[in-house]
Amino acid sequence: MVYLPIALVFLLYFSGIPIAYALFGASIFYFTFFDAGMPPDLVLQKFITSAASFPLLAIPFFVMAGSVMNYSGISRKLMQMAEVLTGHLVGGLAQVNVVLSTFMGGVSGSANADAAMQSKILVPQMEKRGYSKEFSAAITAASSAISPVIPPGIVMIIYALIAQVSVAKIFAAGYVPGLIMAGALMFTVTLISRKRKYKPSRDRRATFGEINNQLKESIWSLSLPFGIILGLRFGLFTPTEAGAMAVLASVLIGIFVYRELDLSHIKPILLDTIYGTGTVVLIIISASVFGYYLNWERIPQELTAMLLDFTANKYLMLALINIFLLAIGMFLEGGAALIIIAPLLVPVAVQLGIDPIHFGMIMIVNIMIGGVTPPFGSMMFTTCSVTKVPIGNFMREIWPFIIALLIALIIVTYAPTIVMFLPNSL
Amino acid sequence: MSSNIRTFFKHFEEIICSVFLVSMITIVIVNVFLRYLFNYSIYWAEEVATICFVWCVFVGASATYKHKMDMGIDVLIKKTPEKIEKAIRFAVTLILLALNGYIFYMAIVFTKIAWAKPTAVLGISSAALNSALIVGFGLITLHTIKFLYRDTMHYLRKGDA
Repeated sequence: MVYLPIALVFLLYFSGIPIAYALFGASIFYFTFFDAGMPPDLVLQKFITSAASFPLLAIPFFVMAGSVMNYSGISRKLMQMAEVLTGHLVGGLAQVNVVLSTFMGGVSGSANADAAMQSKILVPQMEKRGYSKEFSAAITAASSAISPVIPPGIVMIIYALIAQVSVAKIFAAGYVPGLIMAGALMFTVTLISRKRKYKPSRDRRATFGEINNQLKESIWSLSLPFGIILGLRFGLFTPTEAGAMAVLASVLIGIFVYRELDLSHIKPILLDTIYGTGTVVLIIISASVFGYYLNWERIPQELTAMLLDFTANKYLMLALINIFLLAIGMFLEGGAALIIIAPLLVPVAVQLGIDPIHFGMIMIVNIMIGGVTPPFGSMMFTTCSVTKVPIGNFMREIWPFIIALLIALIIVTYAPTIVMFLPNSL
Repeated sequence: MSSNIRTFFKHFEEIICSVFLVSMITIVIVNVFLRYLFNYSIYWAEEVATICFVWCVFVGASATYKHKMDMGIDVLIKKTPEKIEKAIRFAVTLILLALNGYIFYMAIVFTKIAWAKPTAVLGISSAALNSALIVGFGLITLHTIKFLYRDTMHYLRKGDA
């Protein structure tokens, strides 16, 4: 009976109720009809306290920064830079797709925003150059898993709040896993493109002069992520303020440097931000309310004890946790999965002597892979709905990339030294 | 006159959210600059920005609800025969009506209970925060009623034919 709300979440969710409302429904059902000793209206307190948190303001800010980048020409300059760097490789535009996600990760930090943007901008271009639409959609979805791992990222901030670790450290821990993911995807793109004879988008490697010229053009776009990281590193501003400064900086660059941003862009930018924030934050709130029920029933403690009873071997446990998370990530949206699962698993990890920062990276990389994996990955849905690729066809093209990302996950999981090298040197 | 008012109400959530969003970002940016240029911090900046955020979130939730943008999975029910799919969709709207209506009602009760409780910095009534829930879920409930009405009309018309 205690587990009934969990079953209820899945029942509601699979009948087509949005995840946030399924979580609200199950939690409120529990606090209303089970004798939990708490007046249900006080559950509403939880709605407010989980929303009224200053660090969460980073979410609308980074969503807005990502949107401003698209309208101000910053994304395009990043794409040109990516093309100069990797266009001569086999499967040129597919490589550009991966590198662009890595660059974009430096500012926007939301996988779904990245997937939507590249589906709109890059997929049509890839189709023109002879890539199949399915392949283009697959690499777009797969590469979008990189952006939340490259700091700053919304899920990283959420994890830092839950696990009570330093945001700066978890940010620093993101670079290496992000680059490993990018490397794994680029390698896979090369293999597939050789077989299918996908051509480079440039006929030869860019000369030093060309790279230099493009660098001059794109330097403002590229300096944005570095500015954010340096500002955080030297304590000039908090992660939330960094988000606001990123918006300010991209607006200024859009108006004064690239001269592409004008008043007509205000409306779409505001709408992007409102809708992006509305969906994501409501899910976070619903997951916190649901977490309240879990805690009330002491389910995290039970699960911890059960898991530790099962094995005390760190490596076996990490393997188990990874499998569990992949399964969850396929069904739940990334942020919601993290908020519900992290409080359950972080205590287990800490007891086994796993650094919570390293563990956070494992969780985030893992959940992002879940977002690309059929049947219910959220980035898969975003990409398929923008590109109009049927999910069945998408599934045939995505699996090599999922294998590549899983290899990256294994490296991130079992080589803590390379992940923790940067945060430990802070 | 009705067309102007109609446009306003059609985009009601978006307008309200834009105001809060812009205020929120302005406060945060101005505060950073004041801190570095004049070594001065607005003491209420965080609290007011956070209140704006809460309003933005709950009213924004109604905006995404209105446009059915929230992430859900309907691939499973799409696989069922058309009649069953319709029945499930109708049931889902009813469940959402009960849920959102109940949250709306409890939000009113809760706001009343917590009325006297002051906020941490400014010491104003916490209703400034909590009433965002009333407005947000009030609007969401209204939209649910609208969906229900549409579904029913659709169903009835189909039934006649």
